[in-house]
Amino acid sequence: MKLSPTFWAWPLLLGALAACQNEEVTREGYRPIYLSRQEATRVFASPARPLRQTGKIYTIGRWVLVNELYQGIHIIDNTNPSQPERVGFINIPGNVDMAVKGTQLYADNYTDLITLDISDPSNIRVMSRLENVLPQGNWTFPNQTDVVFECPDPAKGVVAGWEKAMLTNPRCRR
Amino acid sequence: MRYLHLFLILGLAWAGHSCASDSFSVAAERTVGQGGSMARFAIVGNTLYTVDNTNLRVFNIGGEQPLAAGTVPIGNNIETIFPMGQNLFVGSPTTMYVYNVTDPLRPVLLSSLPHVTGTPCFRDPVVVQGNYAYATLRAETRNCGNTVVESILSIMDISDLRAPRAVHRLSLTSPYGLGLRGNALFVCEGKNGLRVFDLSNPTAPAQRSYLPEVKSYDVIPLASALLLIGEDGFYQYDYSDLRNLRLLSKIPVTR
Repeated sequence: MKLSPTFWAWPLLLGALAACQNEEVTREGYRPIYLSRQEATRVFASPARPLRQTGKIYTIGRWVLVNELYQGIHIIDNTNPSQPERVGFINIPGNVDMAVKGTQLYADNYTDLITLDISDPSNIRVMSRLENVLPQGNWTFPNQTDVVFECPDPAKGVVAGWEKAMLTNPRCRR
Repeated sequence: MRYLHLFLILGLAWAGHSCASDSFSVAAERTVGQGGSMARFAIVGNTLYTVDNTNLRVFNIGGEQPLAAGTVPIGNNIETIFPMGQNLFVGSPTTMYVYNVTDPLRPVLLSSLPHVTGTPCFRDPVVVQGNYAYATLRAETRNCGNTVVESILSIMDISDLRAPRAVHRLSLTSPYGLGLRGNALFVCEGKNGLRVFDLSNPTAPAQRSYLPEVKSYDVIPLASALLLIGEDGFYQYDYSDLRNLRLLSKIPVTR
């Protein structure tokens, strides 16, 4: 008896369907929002701006520094605690922490440690940058737990945040 | 004697002048600033220490630019670092670690005191004054399994840094940062306000006031004012009367 080509086709077709089910799973999860290295390391001073999402505080002399979560640092002249004055803002993408010695401000810029000269608050400049010396920290995975997410690919840039998305075969979970 | 007076007056005038000058003048003397209890960066002398989830990282900042000088593995879920003299107090959900940095680039572990046994359900800044360390532990529901946990303020006797011991604990609601100065202890309770304690007895803080409406994340008590950061803004208080904090100013958050 000669088997028709359709006979052979059936198992192949079923196999292909099964493979689809195994490999083509679409689920809701989190996808990294990437920033180019150039964008992620753009540090600059700008005029004072309103506080929005406050982070940590730091003080030296008559100055108070307030972190704007993942955005940078507000500079406040606190000569008179009854009338503190916002005098400027330092844009530092990914910033959370800071410390000052003398006229030098040390801050995290994602995974880089940067040193800023703050001797003149109206003319702040980056003095040095140590690349990739701080951990990925909050950036390696989304904040949420019991979720799937697209594994970050360092080649695509710096992970600046996470967005909800339909993901095909997400390989990372937490 | 006359000259001595003149000298003093000149000295005071000079001090006043340098305070009022228009740059980071105090900073110019290479002094180190002060962070809150939630800080993960701390400077001692010419060294910057940072903590991340598992490590203490050491940077030599004595030269032109910082140099990475090594990494010391600590433990898990490390959150905060508080410098005091030649020691670093590192907070983690389960343990307080004390490192000595007399040899700045080679921190030496003096002790590690477990707060509680069990799962890491906590967030845990630590501050230090005299012979005592104060840590808040915030119970979180996630990852806690069936363990019933309570948010607390833990008071530890650190007179022997090699053998600190827990001496007292107080129940809290949802603590974040904390700060102390003299007899005043402030505990941030996040959305649940700010608690003010009298520390006349360092092992038995007595609550003097509670500001439920002040959402607070961290504090720095200065001689001149209490600096407070919270999700609604940056506040400053006169705390000379612990029963009645007086608001000096507020820079509100704009949404």
